[in-house]
Amino acid sequence: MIGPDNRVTGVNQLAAARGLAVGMRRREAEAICPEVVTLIDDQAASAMAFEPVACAIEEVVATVEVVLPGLALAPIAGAVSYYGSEVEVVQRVHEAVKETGGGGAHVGVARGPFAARHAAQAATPDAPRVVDNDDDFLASLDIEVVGHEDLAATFRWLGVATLGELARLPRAAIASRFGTVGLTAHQLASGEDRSLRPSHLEGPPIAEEKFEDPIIHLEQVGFVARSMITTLKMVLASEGASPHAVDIEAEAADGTVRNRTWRSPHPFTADELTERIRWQLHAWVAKGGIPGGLVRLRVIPHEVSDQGRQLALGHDAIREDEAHRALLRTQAVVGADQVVVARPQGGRDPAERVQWSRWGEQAATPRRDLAAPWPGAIPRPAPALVPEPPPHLEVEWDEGVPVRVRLRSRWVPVLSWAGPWRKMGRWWEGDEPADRYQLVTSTGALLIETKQSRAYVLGIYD
Amino acid sequence: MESLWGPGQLLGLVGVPGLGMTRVAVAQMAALMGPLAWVERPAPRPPGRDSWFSPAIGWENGIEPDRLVVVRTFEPTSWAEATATLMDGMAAVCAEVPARVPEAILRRLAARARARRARLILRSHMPLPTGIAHTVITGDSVEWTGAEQGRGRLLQRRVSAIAQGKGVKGPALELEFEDDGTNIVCVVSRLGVTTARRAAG
Repeated sequence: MIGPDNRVTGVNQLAAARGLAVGMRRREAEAICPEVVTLIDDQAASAMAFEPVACAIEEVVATVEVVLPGLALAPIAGAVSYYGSEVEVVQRVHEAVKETGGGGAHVGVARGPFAARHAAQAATPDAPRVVDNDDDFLASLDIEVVGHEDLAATFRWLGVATLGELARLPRAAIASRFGTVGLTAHQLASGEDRSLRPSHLEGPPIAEEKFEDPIIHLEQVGFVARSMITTLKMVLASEGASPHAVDIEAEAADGTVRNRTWRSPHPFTADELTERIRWQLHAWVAKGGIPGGLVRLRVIPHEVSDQGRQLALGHDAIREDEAHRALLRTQAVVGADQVVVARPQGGRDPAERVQWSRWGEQAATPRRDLAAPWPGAIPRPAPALVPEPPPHLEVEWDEGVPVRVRLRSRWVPVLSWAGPWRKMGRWWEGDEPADRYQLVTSTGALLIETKQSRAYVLGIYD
Repeated sequence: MESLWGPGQLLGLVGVPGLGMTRVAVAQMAALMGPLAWVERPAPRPPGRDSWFSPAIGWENGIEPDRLVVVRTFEPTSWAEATATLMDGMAAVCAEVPARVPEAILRRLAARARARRARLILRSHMPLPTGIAHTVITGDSVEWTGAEQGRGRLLQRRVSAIAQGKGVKGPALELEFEDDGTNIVCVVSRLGVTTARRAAG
């Protein structure tokens, strides 16, 4: 099977036995095996051919998610409890697929979809691959499986040849050097390929279209699907969200309802979703699964993440894209560590209340609860500048009252002051208690902290 | 707060820390839609930075956390390059001007802002070269209320500033801002704003 880029996208068992493999150039494949018959890859036809396989797997496990024609994922925890073991489930899946005529099925079992996919590639039709230790299995994979040729070549040039070697490198260093692409590769190498940032939508929107006259010609559905998906994507984009999986549900004129889940490792684009609806409907129709024509079509987004949003109020897609590109280029100029976003968290001092993370990276869970009371916290407004670490400040006191402070080379009088706000700190960890004051001078206001008879600047109200 | 600038215009905010010009910059940016960037003054690699911009004042002014990106730089060249790059994609950029930055770099940034119709704020402790900014606001003095010899807390400040430049449409004007931390209001102003169609420079 040859794809649009003139590379092999699929081989049968005979061709595989002669040394042909997915990813080869067409000319290379024909040179290895001159008598090979090449077919142009037709994804719609492949989807039609794959539908019986997906149905067969569904007979064994409850949920099947199709990624591409020829590749399906199935969570098997429930089936393992029912059948007793992973090996038993795999055997049943294998037999079920075999009965459909798909004898060359490669079945792999692992903890996450990325590892499972590569386990399946490492399997043979006769020997499914059940991975016992995901970390060891991932560590053994070649670096090229990160799916980014240039990045893999750079890693290889740096002496990183396997995912294991990549996973052992500090994530911060990889993110700093290679940005978002490198970070994603490191997450894959560490077996973290399901780390979605869920978007908080109250009931994700459902796209639904009903047809009074049942639709027989699928070309008509193509137009309807495109319009539905465009609307759905717009609604999701307004919430800054994007789906990684969708349920496609079709109702036939005789009341039959069909359902299939499609999944993507990245958020679906409108074109990809439309294409998958078309493939799926073609597959159902070819199987005679829509008797009398289509009367209702629903698309239900699942696993909605906030990856549709780069910046919160950038609802304008063009602006979002421009901002994204500008920030990526800025990362290249100053380093990924130096382009940061902040999120509020709890704390008593201004510096504690801000949690920094690299732009484009999943924010860590706040270390301090924002909703907690935080007695002794400095009241609003917040200082505009927060020195880090707090520098020493010379303050002259008169019986506990601040009288003047030294700003650069000159002493200025304290006009008024508020506080102290006492902070006990974690005394059990050796933190010293501290008192915080707001001092007003003729050139502005400062937030200071005193501990052990020394004063430090916590913030400047600029 | 009324807008002091428009697309393609450069707003200069001058004054030592404490005179409230960072708050004016944040208030101007908060009024806009879209992604915002704050480019910090180049500083030695940490530890050793002398002041970091705190995004909390942006949140207090209604800027959503995800909307504001902070860029840290360590030398003037990367500072200028980062600022120029960000102007291509962000709704507004505020850049803290490093000490002793060559005037030519500032003029190039101003020219780029005009060419890209980007909104740029230069936040500087020192006076900016003449003719770079459409409007320059220089902080003059500040008075705080609320803190009383150990009682109360900082509540409100009144900032006096001088506005100059093409945006003023005439001689220098005196401005007074009242700022309670979440809202900043220009109480004395005859500043003509956002109507200029010609670029500054």
